[in-house]
Amino acid sequence: MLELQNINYVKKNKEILNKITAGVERGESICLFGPNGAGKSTLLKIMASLIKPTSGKCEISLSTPKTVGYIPQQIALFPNMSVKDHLKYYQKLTKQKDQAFINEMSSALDLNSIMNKKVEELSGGMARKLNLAVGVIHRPEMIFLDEAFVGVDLAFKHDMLTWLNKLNNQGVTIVFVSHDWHVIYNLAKTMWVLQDGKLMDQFLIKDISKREMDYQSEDSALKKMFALRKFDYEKNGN
Amino acid sequence: MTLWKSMLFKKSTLLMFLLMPLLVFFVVVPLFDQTVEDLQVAVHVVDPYEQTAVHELIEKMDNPEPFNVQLQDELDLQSLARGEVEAIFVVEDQLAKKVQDGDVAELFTWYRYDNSLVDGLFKEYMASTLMEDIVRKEAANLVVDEMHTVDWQEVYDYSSRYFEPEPLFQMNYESYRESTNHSEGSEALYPLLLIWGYIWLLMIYLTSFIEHWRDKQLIERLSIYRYGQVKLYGSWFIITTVSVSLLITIIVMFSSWFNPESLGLTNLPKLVIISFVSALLLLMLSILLRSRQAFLAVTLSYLIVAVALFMLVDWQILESNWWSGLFIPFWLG
Repeated sequence: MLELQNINYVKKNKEILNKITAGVERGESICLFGPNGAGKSTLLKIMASLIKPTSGKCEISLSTPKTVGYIPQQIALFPNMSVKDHLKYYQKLTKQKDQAFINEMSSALDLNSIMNKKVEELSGGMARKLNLAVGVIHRPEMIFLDEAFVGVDLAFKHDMLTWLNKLNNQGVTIVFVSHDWHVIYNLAKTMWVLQDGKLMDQFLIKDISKREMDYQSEDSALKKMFALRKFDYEKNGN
Repeated sequence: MTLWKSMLFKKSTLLMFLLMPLLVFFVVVPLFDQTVEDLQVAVHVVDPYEQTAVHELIEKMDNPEPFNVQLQDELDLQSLARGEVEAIFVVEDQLAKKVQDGDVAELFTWYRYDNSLVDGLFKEYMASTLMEDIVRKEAANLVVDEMHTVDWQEVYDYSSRYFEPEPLFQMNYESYRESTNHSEGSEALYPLLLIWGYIWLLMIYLTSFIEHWRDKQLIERLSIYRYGQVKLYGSWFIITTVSVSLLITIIVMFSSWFNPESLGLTNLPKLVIISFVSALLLLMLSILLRSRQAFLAVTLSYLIVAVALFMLVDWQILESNWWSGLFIPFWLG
């Protein structure tokens, strides 16, 4: 579905991504994992065709062109526009006519109770839910999420994860960046580990216990991040 | 429509839009009224004794332009302090007798304000008119003293011919004004220049929405969709130009209604066109110059340079050339 061949990305003479080659199959759910500055967001943007790589190829094959959804790290919403107006605006922009899907999504993300509220009146968690809703309103085949769960409480996180898992089970491919182990365990099937612009490792999430051992001997950020896995996961009540 | 509401129904935006009509109604229109009134400089001549000689003096002066001479019987220094009167001249009692006797010291008391500028011209004009009379009377006095048989009035009337001599030769007089941009027409462009400056500043403010959308990754998000970015930029352009054009139309119509000389309706298409061009230029700059600081530096510099060059050309300090077309104010002419 998506092929990355020898992807390099250089910005201001700094190498952000270095020879990344990988592939994404339909219906997969991949977490891009790694420390800050590893190149996760840049790789996600290249995969979503938002930016072009300096060299290499990123080929995406979808049934209809441009049916990808992108949920940025920021809450990319119009501050004084209501929730209802946002849905209406993106529905019109994407020419989405499947009102049943929008109703189902609004209900799953519990947006109906805040329809008339403006974005500036919403809490961070509610705004994140709307941020997700407008990003997937056109029912994309592939969704890219860049730390879309930051500042979201467990109840709202549950709504978002349930909805994304439902889409994933319907065959929608999900690629996301997150440091939140709760999100990773509940959404990812596969993990790509990045460090210093290089794709270090790819493995199934169920194999994480075995693979994280590889990083135990290293004195790196990754070692600390994996060490936090149990703490975060247990803290969130799993 | 939703984006329209999002951009315009914001307190700061509404305030920016309201400032413009307020600026026009409280600055531009009164400026025109005042300019028309200010063509006549008010001067008071105060004569508490209501003397015929003072009436005759003012009649002789024949209300010279640009002065509006008003004869008063009471001294009102407050009107001078308020700037309503350029100067006040108070006449002493028995003006005619004093002139006839040659007692010409301190015939008038001249009151002027710190900001009085052209009252000296009036003083000279009044003094020369009075001086003519004084000289004729002095001459008549001298002749009567020497020759007791002659009539004083006859001598006085006779002396007028020396002030109105037959011309030795005549000269044709033709006024010449160099054909330049600086004319009454160019002065009428200043309110338009002021409005363009405001349009430019208003649109700079409206580009802050683009900046905000960029910061919030909204533009990046929309680039996923087919023509997503183009639609957003297009919406901004349409909302900005339509709302500003609508506002200009209302302002021009109202100001024409209040004072037809201020902003003529014929200027409306010109203003609408420059609004479209300004919006397009600012949109392009906002896309090209991604940094807000760089954008503000370029656009504000453009505003200052454009206005300064327009004024310099209008004052004939600089000559208009091919480059003037690069600056929007020159399109107003």
